[in-house]
Amino acid sequence: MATFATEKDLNASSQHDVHLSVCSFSAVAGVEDRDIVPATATTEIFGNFQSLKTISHPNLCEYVEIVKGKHDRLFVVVENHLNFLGKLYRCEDNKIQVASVGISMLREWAFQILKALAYLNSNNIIHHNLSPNNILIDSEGTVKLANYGLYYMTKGGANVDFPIGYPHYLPPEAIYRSADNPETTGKVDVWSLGVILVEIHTGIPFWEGDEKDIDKIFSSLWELQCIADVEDEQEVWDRFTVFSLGISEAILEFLQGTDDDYGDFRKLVRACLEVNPSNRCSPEQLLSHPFFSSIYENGLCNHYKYWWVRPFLQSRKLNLDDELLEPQEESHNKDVLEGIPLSQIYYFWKLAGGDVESELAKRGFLLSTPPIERIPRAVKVQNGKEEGTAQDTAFLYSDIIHGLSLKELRQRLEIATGPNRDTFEWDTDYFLVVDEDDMNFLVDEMSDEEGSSTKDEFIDKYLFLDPNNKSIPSTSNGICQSPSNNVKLPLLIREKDVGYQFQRVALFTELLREYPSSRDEIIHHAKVDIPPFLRGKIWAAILGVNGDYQAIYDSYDKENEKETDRQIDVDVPRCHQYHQLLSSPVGHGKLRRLLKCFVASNTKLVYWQGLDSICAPFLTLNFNDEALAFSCLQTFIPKFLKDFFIFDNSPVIQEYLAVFRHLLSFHDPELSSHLNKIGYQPDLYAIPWFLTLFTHVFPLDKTYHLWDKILVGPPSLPLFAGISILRQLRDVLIKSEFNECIQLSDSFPDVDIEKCIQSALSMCKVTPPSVIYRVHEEHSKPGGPSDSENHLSDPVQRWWEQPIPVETKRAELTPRISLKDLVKLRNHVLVIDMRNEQEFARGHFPLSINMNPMHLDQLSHTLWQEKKKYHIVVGKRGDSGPQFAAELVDAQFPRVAVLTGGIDVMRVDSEEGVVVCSCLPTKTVPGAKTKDGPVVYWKCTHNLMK
Amino acid sequence: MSNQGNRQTPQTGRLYQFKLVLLGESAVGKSSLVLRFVKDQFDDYRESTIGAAFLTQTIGLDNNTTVKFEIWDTAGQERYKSLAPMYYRNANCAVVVYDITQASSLEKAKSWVKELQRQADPNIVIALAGNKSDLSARRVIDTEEAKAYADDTGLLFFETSAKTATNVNELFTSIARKMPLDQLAANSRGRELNRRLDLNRPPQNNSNCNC
Repeated sequence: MATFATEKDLNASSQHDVHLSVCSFSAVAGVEDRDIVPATATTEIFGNFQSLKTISHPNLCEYVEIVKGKHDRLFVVVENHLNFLGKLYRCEDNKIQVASVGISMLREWAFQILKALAYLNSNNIIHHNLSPNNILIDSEGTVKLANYGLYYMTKGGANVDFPIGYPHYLPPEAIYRSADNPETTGKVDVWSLGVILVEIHTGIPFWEGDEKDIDKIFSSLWELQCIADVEDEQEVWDRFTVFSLGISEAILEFLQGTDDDYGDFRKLVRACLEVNPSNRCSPEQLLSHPFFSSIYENGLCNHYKYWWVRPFLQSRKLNLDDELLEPQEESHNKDVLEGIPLSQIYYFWKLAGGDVESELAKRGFLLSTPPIERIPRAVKVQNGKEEGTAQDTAFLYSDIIHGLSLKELRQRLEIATGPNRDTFEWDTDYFLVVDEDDMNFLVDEMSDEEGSSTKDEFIDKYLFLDPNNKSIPSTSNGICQSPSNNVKLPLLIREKDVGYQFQRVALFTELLREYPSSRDEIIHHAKVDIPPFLRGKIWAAILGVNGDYQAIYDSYDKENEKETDRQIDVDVPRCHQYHQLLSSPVGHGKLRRLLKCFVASNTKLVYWQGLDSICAPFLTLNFNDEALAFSCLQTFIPKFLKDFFIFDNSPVIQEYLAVFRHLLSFHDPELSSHLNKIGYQPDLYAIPWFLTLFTHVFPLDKTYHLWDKILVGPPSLPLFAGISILRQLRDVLIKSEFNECIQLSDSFPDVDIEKCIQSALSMCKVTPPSVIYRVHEEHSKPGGPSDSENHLSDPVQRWWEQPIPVETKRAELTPRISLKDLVKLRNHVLVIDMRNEQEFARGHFPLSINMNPMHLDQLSHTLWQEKKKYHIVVGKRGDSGPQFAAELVDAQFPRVAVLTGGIDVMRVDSEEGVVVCSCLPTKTVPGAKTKDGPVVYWKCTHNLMK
Repeated sequence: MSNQGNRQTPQTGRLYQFKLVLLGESAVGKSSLVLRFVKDQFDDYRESTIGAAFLTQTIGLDNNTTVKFEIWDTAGQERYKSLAPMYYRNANCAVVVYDITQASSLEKAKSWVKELQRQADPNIVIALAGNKSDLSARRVIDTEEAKAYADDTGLLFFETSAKTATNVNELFTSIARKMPLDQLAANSRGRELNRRLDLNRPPQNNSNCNC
């Protein structure tokens, strides 16, 4: 994952003991009177949380995921460790006792805590919640701070109904915000640290008396602030007045002490407990406190492990979890979860049936107060708001952290990776699976490239050969090999199969690590399916995102006002708002920046409504990496939507829609003919389909699956997907009139994406390239030397190679086919020649039929009897036969096309190896008559082109 | 294509079909008005319209008269303007929408009215709708100002709220009442033939519109 790796990805392999846990809370009911969007507090928290997932520091627990449950309750999944400093506190005879700890231990802890706090501050995060309970210690003895994101994700507590922080550990300014210091800073946490350190050192709580007596703490903090405000030569803690505040005497005595044993430690604690925040040091500053000088001298080595395991365990009656005491057996099987990032473990945990909400419900945590007991005894209705409703106790905040059991996941994965594991074999590449009886132009194109390749080799090859690398990729590790059964489970089942996903994720993780050199292999495997967990990165790899994309993204102006801002501003808050990330204010900001960056970076392109929808899949998949989302967009648009967003895109779209109409006739003449008759034209319904590649019409979960295939497919695949959609609705469409049809396409009923893609691919395979040719598509000019030479040596297009004007394309119902493709089709095609018989006799395509277009009614039976898959009309220069071809479509002949250039091109174009037959054709008189005489057709019987 | 025979209208009654087009600046609430009128729903986060959307709604004017609207709801972004003639060319009526909280949207509405008067059917019935009347706290366009403009220009005028449904049905009913029904009944057959959209004509060239 060299290119797309976050700090977290790189640190993941150093993870040892794995524990996940969840904590839960509810936001305030709603934040009122927002400008355009009344974003609920829940959505805001959801959005704010996302960047916490990128926080990575050896002394911080990872935030894994946030989940929105019923009644907007939020569940935060976090890294957990079984030991925490709170375990040093115990209650005996109603008095709290703290197990005290040696000074070197404290030094290590304090140092690590400060490092973590400094890192948080550098990321604009304030813990504000520091207490012994969320200072965790992992099995190595390393400090891991937990719950540091609550204050951040709730915008300093504004989005929740409960206060954040424990008064016991909060400094005066956190309770009484003074006018001089309105901003909360990271110094709040320094105070908390000071309290914790001095408690553990002295073995008694900082505040005397009942810890639940918050009022007393509040008034003491107020007094403390007042004392500090009094000008005095003595420092606050040296004054006599502090003894009246309810702070434990032993602690005050320590603070005022003079013995040198703890000199530096005392100085540190006193620095932490500086009452005036403007004089208090920041975490960063305290890291260079003399108390820590020995750490620097020892070069930061991990001596603390020793201190943790030895004196502590033996000297104190601390019941540490048994797991810690068990020596690590080297011979023991390696944990299947070792080295896997927590976010991945959580993902697998869910696949194995885990669900945080039901987990907590099972434990009785979410027990609601029965509704009957919540009925208010008195209701005061004011401004339409109900007051006096009793609060459901399940909505009260609790800081309990619930561990999640990974036992079942481990069992499932041990089976999945063990010797008796399921073996998976899916269609290796169903782009290239060949139906013996039919054409496959995709395979065909391969064989042109490689000449003598055999079919087996095609299976392993790409659809789009990378011009720089034509070699066949080898599977780097055996994870996905050893096929034994031919089960083809539906995609949705594969995506829920923990064993399968585990193997897929492992395979792609490995491949991504080797990106970009592994790009071909990634594309190869991605054609089977893409594991949703890594989708964002795999897409980026498929698209070929490379280089310092962050620097590129940073180089564009995304902030200054521009002309298109108004349009972007009204579109962003209504773009896929059912999606939790896109509906959050953070999501709005990101989408806005992406769109502005797109406008700023593409001078020829402009913002068209619909671009917002196209950004949505990339943004949601790379929510914490805007630059990557942007680079994906930048590489995606030229490939699939070339020129769709130029200022005057009408010719581009018109051509696209014309080709779409041709393809419909080609593959479903009956439907095409019907829709054409009722005037149901693509212009009226398909613009949002193609302009946004279906992101505007499908919800994102469907779009992901569709794009999974579109990304690894040919640029024409979206066209075929559109036809598949029409064909899924075929039964209704064919019976309906215009009004019903057009309303159907506005709100799709359920479209099965997997079926849609499969049918799109099978149509794509049998469609000759010339039929889908578009002037405006990106033509493969990858800059390879051979390519550019070809272009130089062949600067003049021959007359039949001139692009057909858009107006002509739009007017015709059927596509045109090139001679080259016709030759390839020779065994499957019925060529219908519509010239007069004399011209036909002078020269014709071998085995073709000659008939008068006027006689189609009488002869269609004869044509059907030929049982050919393709029907190609050959005309003459001037009238190549589009009208006749349209009649064939109306008569429901499949795959009708008109030969570009008519018969003349066969005579002129020698390159394709066409032999113009000049045999004397056989005349047949089927018996029917018209007013002009009997119906006749001629047929060539010389197969010169076997 | 003609539904007149199939509709379950009272034996004595008449069904009239009108093509209606909605025009106006982006995000003024065109789609929301239609959604309220057709399905009596409101969606706070209605996705933007790309190209155009089509819906129909039938209303009864009195015991004998039923009017069916075939509504083309167009995209508001200026860039999609070139598509608009395709939708308004054969329209019998138009609703030009602005947002009472956006000063620019009335200017845009005025320019649509001008374009309709110049390019569309000369008999087109045009209504001006000032939407989002529920957001009166953020109002920047006075009712009087818009009303005066509508009167001068001969437009129907309503301040509507798709969110609260205020004046939405009234708007469409008034349009139906203003349609010259008798006259239309006489040449309804001719109309039938023309009502399909003419796609193959280049949108710029509207002068020889055969309405």
